Amino acid sequence: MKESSQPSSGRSILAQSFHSSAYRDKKRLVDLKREKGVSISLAFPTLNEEATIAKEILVLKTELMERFPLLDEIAVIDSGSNDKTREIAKSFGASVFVSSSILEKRGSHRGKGENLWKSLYVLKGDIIVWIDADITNINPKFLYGLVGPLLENDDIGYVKAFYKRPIRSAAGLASSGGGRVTELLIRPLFSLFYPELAELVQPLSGEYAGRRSILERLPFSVGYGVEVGHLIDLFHMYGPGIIAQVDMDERIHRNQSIEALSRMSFGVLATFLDRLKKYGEISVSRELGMRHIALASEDDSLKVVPAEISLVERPPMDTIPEYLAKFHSAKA
Amino acid sequence: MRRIYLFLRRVAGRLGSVFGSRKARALLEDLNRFDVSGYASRIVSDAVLMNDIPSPSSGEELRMDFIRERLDEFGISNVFSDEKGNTLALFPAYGSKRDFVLIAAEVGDANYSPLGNGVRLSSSRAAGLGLGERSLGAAALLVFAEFAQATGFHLDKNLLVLFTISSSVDEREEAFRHFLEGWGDRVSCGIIVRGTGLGIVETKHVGSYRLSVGVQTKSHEILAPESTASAASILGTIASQVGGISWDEKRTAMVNIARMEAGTGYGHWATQGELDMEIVAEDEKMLETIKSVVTGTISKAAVGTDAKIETLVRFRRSVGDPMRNADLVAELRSALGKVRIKPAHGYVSEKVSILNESGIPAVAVGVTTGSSGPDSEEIDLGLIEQGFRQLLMVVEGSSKGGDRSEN
Repeated sequence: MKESSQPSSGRSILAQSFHSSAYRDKKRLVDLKREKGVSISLAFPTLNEEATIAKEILVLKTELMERFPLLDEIAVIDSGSNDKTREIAKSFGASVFVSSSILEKRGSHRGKGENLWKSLYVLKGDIIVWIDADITNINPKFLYGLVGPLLENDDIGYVKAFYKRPIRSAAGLASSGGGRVTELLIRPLFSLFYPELAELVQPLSGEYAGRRSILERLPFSVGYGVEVGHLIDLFHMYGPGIIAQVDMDERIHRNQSIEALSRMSFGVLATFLDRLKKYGEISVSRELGMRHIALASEDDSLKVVPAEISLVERPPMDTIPEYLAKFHSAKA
Repeated sequence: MRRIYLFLRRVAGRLGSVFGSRKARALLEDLNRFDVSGYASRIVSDAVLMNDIPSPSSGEELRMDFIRERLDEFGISNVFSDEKGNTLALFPAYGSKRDFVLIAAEVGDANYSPLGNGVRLSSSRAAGLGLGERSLGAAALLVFAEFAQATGFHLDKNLLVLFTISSSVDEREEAFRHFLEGWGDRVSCGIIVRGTGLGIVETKHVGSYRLSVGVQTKSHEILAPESTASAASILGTIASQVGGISWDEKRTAMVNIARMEAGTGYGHWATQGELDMEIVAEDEKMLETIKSVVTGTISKAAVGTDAKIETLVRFRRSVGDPMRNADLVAELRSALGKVRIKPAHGYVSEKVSILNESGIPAVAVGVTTGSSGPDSEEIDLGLIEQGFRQLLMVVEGSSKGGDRSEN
């Protein structure tokens, strides 16, 4: 796989859009995996996911480790849950890590991106898969659909899932409503700055897979911006042809409040602006705000509710000596 | 299809008896110690996946597609489907026996809802509507097929693994009866795999009728002395007359009013009404007597009114023959003893009765225990390994003995 200084004009993301059913022949994928001599690791970033984590581990472990040995390990990288997430995950056979205990000398930050970054250090696989732990209709296709394109095509290095997103709410299951941050924030921004990336159906989806050789070269935002940061970095480093997307049909998950989505948008936008600056595509003439400002009503008046959103960036893992010692002893 | 298969089976059976039976024999010698722990998690995983698949669909094709894909993945080639939605997988015997042991499970869930059916797991329990009653039995049978294929669990008789439409979807059991029309003469015994009910030994025989009563009047009732009876009041009269009778001393025979809809606002005109009822009795004569009384009462309810009443028998299940299942019940008791599950008596399930009607001894085997209510259903995960081992033992035990034609 070649790195390019300019985005490749060849393959578009739409041309590399597949349906998960194309990879339903699990025996074929296991044969491909053996042929290529690669190992595959799955990590769930978690924070209080006791309601769904057991089902995700059981189904994927049973189907893709025991019946069809496509997957070599399942790990949970936990941000310090105060429910039974870690205990349940362990009892169903996952390796469980507390994020703050990984690479302790490098400190600890709270956020999904932090867990993903640290997972690179503890996972052993050549292909890394991340799946959110709040999916209620987990299915093996969420995993084989993501690794299928990577096993089949050496030019693909990063695969994102997309799906219909009915959401759970008090009123039942609504057929739409997912992906609001994508449609209101990310798609307009991509359309302005990176039209090629606007071909991604769900750029912020929490299910994606990549080759270690690529992931270790990417910086990671520790918070909400980790996905958008990856996509822009991949675009600049390799061109859009490195990215594929796979249709998983339907994913049922928890609905998030508009307040939570607002904080998420803040984190995503901060990473987006940071990348534009990094690649010299805009200049910001003043320092940006570091806190998300919400408003709440109190006694017939409004008050400001500031929230700290972590904007920390973790450097590429291949610049961390401990990592190099573990995975690239020659370089270290 | 059946004739070609039976010829090929005879050839395969003879070859198998010469070359392939050593592994199977070793397994059968010590079923009680064979490690089946890995199969328990597969049962739960497949039940979780099946419970997520929408149902009912035409011929239950969505869930049957899942089952056929699984059987294909296990490398089972003798898989057939029929026009009623049944899916069959055949495992030839090592030997010359012609008969089949039928192992069947139901597929389909008339009460499926995408939210309620989503399964939630803890370390010891799994919860989700339909999980125990509608998905776990079929999942256990799938894993049984996987086990049989992987271990060479071939017996003295042929095995016929059947996934048929659930009675919750196919109330008249048309798919199951269709299967029996084609294969019943070669089935020496039947084992119905159920998700829950581990330890329940079905010895209490029961028969039932399900009747639907339709009423149509010329006018709807108004509050006036000379007005005629409405559909609602006629159905109400029928329900109170047949529902208030004590049929036997033990009160085991009964008439249950399952549903009554009449009048404007329920999808009917004001002059229309419907009533569904079930008659249950442990004795065949009593069942017929009650049915006769009930239909007579229904006919009389229209006398003196302008109403037209129609009664439809939607389903009949015979009381069955308790002695026919004795050997299988003994096998089940023995297996339960070996896996240290205390047996309890229960009523015979519908498909067992239907098999008995065809002269086929049958027994229902539960995989685990559980509880269910209108909004929840839970199963115990810790007992599935014992439940699966018990199933293997019952299948193995039931394959002994001669062909039906020899008896």
